[in-house]
Amino acid sequence: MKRIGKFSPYLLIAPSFFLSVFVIGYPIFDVVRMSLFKVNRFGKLQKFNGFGNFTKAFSDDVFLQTIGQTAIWTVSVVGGTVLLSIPIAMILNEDFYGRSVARTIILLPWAVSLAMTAVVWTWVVNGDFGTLNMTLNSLGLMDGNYVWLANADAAFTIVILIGILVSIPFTVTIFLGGLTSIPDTLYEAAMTDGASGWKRFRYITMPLLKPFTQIAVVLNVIYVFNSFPLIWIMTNGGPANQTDILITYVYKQAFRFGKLDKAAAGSVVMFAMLVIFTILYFYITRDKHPAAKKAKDADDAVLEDLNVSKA
Amino acid sequence: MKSRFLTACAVGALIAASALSTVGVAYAKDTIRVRLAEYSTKTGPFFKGLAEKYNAMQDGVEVKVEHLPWPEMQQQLVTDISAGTAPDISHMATRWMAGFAKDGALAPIEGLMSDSFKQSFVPTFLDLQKQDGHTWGLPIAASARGMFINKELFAKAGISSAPKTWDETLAAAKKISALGDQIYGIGVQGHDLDTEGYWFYSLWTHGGAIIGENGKSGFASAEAIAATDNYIRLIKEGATQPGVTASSREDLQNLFAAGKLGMVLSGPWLNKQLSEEAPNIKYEIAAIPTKTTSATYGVTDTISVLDTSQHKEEAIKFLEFAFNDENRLEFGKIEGFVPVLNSMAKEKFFTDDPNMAVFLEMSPVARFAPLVPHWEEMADALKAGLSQAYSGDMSSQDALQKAAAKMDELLAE
Repeated sequence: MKRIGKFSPYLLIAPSFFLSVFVIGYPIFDVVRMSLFKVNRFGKLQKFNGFGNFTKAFSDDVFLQTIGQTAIWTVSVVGGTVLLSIPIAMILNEDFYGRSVARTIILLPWAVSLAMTAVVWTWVVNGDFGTLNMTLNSLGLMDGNYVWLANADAAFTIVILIGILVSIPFTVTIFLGGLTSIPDTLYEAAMTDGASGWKRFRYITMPLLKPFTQIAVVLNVIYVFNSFPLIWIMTNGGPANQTDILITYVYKQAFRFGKLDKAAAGSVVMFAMLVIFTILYFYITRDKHPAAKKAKDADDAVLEDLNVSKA
Repeated sequence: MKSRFLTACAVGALIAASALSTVGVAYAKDTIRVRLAEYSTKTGPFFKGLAEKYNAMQDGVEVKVEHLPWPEMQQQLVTDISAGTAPDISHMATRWMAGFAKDGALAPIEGLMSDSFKQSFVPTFLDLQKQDGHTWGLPIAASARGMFINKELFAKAGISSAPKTWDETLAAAKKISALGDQIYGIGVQGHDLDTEGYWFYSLWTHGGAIIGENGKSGFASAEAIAATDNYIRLIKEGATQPGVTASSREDLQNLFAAGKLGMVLSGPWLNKQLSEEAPNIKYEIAAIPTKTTSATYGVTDTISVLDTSQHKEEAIKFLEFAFNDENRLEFGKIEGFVPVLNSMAKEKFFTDDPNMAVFLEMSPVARFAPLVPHWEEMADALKAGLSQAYSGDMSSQDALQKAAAKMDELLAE
């Protein structure tokens, strides 16, 4: 009777567990399998190819160039987003007149589909009819039209800026959640001790936001690294593949050129990069000082004893 | 409670049964699924109309038409073929056909077509659908290209006749660009779909070829470099629109329709766009300018029977109906392509319209993109090379050699 009791929870969750494993695991398994075979354009496995597809991908100049561009894209978009989102979240966390309107405006880009955003911005930066050139001209900042997407550096900068713009709402939401969880009493105590605004930010806000920053960075890296519509619609990877990132490269290989095997190898590489990044990132940002952690736990315990709610 | 449940069950069963029976009736005939890509908003309704007529004419099969936009076509088709849900008949770009045929997705149709049906096509266009001794599809649409000229801008710049050579084109384009006011002499395409096609005009008229006589890439031949430098000269002398590497085919067409472009190389579909969006633009269409050789870019689209179809014979019968004179004339009127049937080439609609006649006249010198399995990827490498050459990031020779090396590597695969 006791033994059944011990196993019954596992028995009960087993169906959903295996369903999840299947739903999540099968596509991964399938891509890994495809990456090891020669595959025709309709996804039919032909013959085992070992690491042939990987060597082929890594001997492709465009693939290597794309890896570099993906790194620039991801670091710039995520870095920019996090740096901008913390102050925005702090402002929105203050109590001021019209806060809910401000919050809505900040979160609005989230409600528009990425594809629509991309199409609209493509028109904004259009050389002949775009409103950006028109505005700059009428402000007297520029004379004549500049075709922004014709130059690789300008095009990449523009997609990165728009990437930041669309990532801000989600990130601000995470940080707002984090700021709400910091008890006001900590700031009050610090102020009584005469801590300046910078010191309060540096020694209270920053450390207590750390877990939220971690989550914001990891989730954003995953989303941005895999983000397809912006670049696809605005530049299609051009000019001359100089704005391609791995995901657009893989898509072109698979659906334009019919090379599903090479695309699968590329996808596996992408997956591996993300897994390695996530593990490394959590390892680097782990709590390095067990003493500090102990102290924090003690703090929490005190707060609990005093029955002070953290939220 | 229980009786209510029973009633619900009974009602449900009844509904299910009636649904089944209607489905049963509809599927008594074999269904032929036809998938088409849209040239315009009228393509879908036109083919749906054809299917309706055909369904009313005979009792053997029921034809169902699905239509979707061109950009989604390739991926959708690949996905459906992999999933085993491909239609019986599908429309595609002729350049995809080679790859599809090689991977066994298409049915050879030469054995299913009657001799008279085969002979009704203009041979150049039907021959293009043949490979390895089989016919893999029918040319559903064909186009040649010409040079559209804005007559008003020409008059303003004091140019009396359409330029015949590239040197004359440069001179004319410079005069038009000099008009200022964001008006540009000639459009050069450097971005997106068909960038390579825009380059072929220059390549072929300079005497170059996509595949050289030795069977290797002709992207980096002396003629190809001269052809590229021809466009670079236009760009450097300020005779083109700014930002060539971001200008797609649509961008150029929109500029021309806005009256801001003196010349643009394009196909018959631009007539349609101009008549709808810019009826006030006064234009004429001339032959593509030449250096050594007279040439134009010919493109066909294909309609094929899929290898998985269970009704190949019936499918061909429907296609035979769709390609009769009456239906093709109607199609020509709606979409404005060059006729693919011998009988249509003499049709007044095509010969009397000066905006169509040039394309018919240029058809004999039309050249086509090669039908090789990895063409899309070769064209992509070329596109990247051209982009670097036009922007001045690389010399035309280096950029083209890179593209040629990629093409040779793919030809060897």
